[in-house]
Amino acid sequence: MKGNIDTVLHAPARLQIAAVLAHVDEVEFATLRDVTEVSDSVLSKHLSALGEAGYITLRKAPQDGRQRTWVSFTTTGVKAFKAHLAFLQELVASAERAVPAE
Amino acid sequence: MSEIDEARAAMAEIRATEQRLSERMQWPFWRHLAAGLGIGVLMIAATFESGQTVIVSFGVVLFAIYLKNRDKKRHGMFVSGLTKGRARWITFAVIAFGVAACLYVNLGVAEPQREQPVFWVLLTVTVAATTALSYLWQRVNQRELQGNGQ
Repeated sequence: MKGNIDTVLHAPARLQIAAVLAHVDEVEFATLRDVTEVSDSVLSKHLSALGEAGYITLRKAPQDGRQRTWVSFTTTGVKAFKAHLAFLQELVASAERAVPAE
Repeated sequence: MSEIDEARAAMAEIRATEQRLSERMQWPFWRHLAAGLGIGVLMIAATFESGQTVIVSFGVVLFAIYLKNRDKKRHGMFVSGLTKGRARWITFAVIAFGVAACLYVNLGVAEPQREQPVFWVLLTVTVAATTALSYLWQRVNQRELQGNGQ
């Protein structure tokens, strides 16, 4: 089997974040929190980890007198998510192929 | 939990997230119409003197920036239409339609352009088609996000 588990993306919350980022150009922190259904602190922690790995970019911008955080995928992040997704799909597919043989 | 069970759970989580995202990825009809009208204005601008064309085109660019900022404020996200998925090809079709319409006018095929009824027919078709394509993009994108969850 090709590829390997990406330990940075392995956590469920990070996978959810990546799933959102794969479909948008940029998303605001509160929207991302609502879609992924995690708390502010959990989201912050995972965003920091993804940012340190170079998978995402965090940008602060004022809006309605408050600082908002905008999140987007980097090229490295896009590639890592694609590879991780392909690995997961292959793992599930190989398990399903193995079932009739058992 | 085995590695395979973990992979299955991860895939299910991704699908659930995509389904929740699909519920948020819808824009009012006027937003699609605005995209079509923007291209229509560019088509009309192509019939003006070059100086006026630049000014009107600049106005359309400013309007596009306004829409982008409005989308970000209202929806908490910006989607250019060029991100992954089959819907991306519809974005390319909208761009191709717009470029073709402006080239058609610029090349003077329909001289004297605005005085010819055919120009207004083509303008109406272009605005209607790009509006419809923009709406189609939303439907295809949503179906793809929801379909992944089946």
